[in-house]
Amino acid sequence: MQREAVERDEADGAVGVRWVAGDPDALRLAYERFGALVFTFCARSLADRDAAADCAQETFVSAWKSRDNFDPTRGNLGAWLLGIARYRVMDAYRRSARTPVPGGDLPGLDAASASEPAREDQLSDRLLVAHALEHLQPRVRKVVELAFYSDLTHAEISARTGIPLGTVKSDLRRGLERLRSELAGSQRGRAGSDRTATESNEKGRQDA
Amino acid sequence: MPEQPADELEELRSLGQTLRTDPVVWETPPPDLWSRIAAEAFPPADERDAPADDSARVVSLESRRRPRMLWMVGAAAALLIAVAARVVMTRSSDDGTVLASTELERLGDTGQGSATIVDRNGSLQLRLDATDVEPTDGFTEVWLINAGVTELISLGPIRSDGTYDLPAGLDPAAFPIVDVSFEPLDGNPQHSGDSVLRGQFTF
Repeated sequence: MQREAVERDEADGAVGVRWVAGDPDALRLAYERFGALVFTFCARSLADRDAAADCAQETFVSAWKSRDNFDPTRGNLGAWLLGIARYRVMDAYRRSARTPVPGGDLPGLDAASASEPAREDQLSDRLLVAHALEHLQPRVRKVVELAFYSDLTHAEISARTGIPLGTVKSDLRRGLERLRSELAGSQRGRAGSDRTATESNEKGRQDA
Repeated sequence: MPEQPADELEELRSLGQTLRTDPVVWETPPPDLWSRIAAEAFPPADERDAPADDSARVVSLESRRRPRMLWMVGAAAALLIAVAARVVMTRSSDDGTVLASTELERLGDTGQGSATIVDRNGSLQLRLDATDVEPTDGFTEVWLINAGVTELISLGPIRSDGTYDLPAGLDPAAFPIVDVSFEPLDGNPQHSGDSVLRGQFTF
């Protein structure tokens, strides 16, 4: 399935394959394709352009140094990069959130930061979907966007666009498969367990 | 809802739902971002071929792919690690089974090392060979972190024997990241965010 996804998307696939092979051009290609994605993720998370630039720089450099860890059969390169960016964002949060411990209320300690990972997950998925959407073939993108932004049925999409019903169906299926593969390896691609787990106090876990 | 493969439409809509209410506006990275990345990811040749003590700075997974560099970097790292490693290895020569190992990536200014998860008669241990990880203030702490970087388990202050018992019942694959951090002595049990070494096990 993932193999097919890699082949289906030539551009992403080519970057992923070259990335795995350690081709130095792969980092540049990955930056061209995913630079705005990663930078936007960092900028939205950190709300500071300078910090976002540092975050994006650290993400690409550490991704490149750890490129052996990327497995194209388990996920998409964009999703993998956002996973690393998320890591950097969390580090930045921890650095900035390191304030004196408020009195007593241990479970509440992380109240503010506990909500962050879930928010990052959503942001990450949203950006990956938007990014994937922009890389769909124009006709597929058109019907997928209609499906996204309206409550039209297949038949209504067909009537609205003049695209035959069978084509609408196959385009939507292709679009969906593409979006699924784009999210593979992202937070959403994993079982939902990570999200609920974020509720727990980080340090409290060691007592469990 | 619509006709036949309605679930596909529903799945698409659920994927697109947040875009409906909150469309994505892409941020343009600063123009120099790529050059900054390239400069750090591809250090100039003279730096790469620098003498061994200097080249220890670039110990990374990357070196696996560059035999010549690996050799130089490896020589430097091996010397440093060998001393620490020997202590560990001889101390426990009934070593058990290695489940996973990883080189550690340097995140701060100093330090290098590697880590191994070992199964010793059913109890799991982290073996950490790390050098140059003494902070000027505070102490050095060792952690396991989940892949989502949302859950941390402290294995405590760094130990001179490099051996850490994992909590019984812990699935090491659920916490595949090993992290070494500098921590101030402020009584705050949380991770400081000041990581100096980090690696990820593949099980």
